[in-house]
Amino acid sequence: MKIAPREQFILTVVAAVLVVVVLIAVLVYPSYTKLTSLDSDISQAQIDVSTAKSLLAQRQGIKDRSAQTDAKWLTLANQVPDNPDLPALIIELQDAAFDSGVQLVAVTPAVPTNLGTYVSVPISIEILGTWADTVDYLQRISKLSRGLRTIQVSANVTDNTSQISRENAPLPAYFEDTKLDLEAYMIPASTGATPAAGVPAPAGP
Amino acid sequence: MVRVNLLPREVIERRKYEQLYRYVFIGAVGMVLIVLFAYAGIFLLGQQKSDKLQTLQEETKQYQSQADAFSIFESKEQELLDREQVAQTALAGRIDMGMLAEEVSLVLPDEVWLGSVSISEKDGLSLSGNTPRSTSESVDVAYKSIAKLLVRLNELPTLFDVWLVTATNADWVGWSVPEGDAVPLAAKVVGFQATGKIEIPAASAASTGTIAVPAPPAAGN
Repeated sequence: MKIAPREQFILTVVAAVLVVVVLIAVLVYPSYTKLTSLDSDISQAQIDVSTAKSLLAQRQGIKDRSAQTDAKWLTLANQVPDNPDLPALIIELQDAAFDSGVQLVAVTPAVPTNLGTYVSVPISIEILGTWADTVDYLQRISKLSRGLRTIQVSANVTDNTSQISRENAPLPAYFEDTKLDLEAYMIPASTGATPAAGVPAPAGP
Repeated sequence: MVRVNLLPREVIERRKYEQLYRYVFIGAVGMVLIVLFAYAGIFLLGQQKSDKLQTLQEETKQYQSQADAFSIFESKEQELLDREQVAQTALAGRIDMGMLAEEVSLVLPDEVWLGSVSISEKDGLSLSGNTPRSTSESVDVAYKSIAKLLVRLNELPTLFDVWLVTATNADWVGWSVPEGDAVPLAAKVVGFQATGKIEIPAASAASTGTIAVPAPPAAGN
């Protein structure tokens, strides 16, 4: 088949254009697409750097005040510990009794009650002393490092001096026999802790 | 002189296109060169951007690893905040009963003495006591003393709805006295019982509210 020179020329031009188009399609276009993708990746990376920087600055600030955090932890652990911590509480109640001049007659903790995020530890105590000393005791227990809620105070005058004894101190003619219903609290360390699982309950009779 | 082209027409046409091939070739090579230059430029630019991206990613990784090393402090502080919130919930609305007991003591008239005091978060304040009874018109005896006590109790910021439950004439025998003293005290008195509600501090007070007119206590209170 013989092709006319004109058609040969047109075919050559078309072939040349095709070569150029193929080169653009194979080399330039993918590179350009990659370049565009790189631009968006760089923008994202700059945002990531900025985010990481601010996160680092935030955590650096938290680290700088870790001493204060530890102090707060200590205060909070005393106020609302992660276990009933009855020994420390009893010592505080006894010290407050000594300081205010009343006599601690009875301390009776009850079964802890789980109230969701925290556990309540009911404690009944009985004290003997003058009204002034009793009021002083009430004020002292509200300032203990262990956070206590006074649910009820019931004071009655009694003149049974056999109930109270003081070394080297005169007994008053009458004094108050006061019963206090208190509530101490604990926050279990693990969120799933329940009194049955994590809190020691008193033994049955 | 006249030149006469005796070549056939096909040959003339072929020679014409043979001359045009040169331009097509030059144009094609030029276009290919332009495409290759563009590719090279884009490639170099891509390399630069890849390097920049890598630098940024390394920088991010470095900051992130440092931040991760400090994450223990953050989780510790967060746990503290959570526990503080729980502790505040647990201890919210506590009544300072020591202060209330002292305030009651301070406003108690001299001629009134109490036999029992009960302060309860749920039931409020409950007092029972005595005051001497006399035929005197003085303001310091009997029912007037009780009225005075009620007025004073009502003025305490932590109390409201102070109410007299009962006040009756009675014969009071005092408590025993220390050995060596005379007989126990005895007197004609007015015995009384009074109650009052306690203002719950902070936010939880909103649910209680204060009522202008004190309501009588429920039966059996």
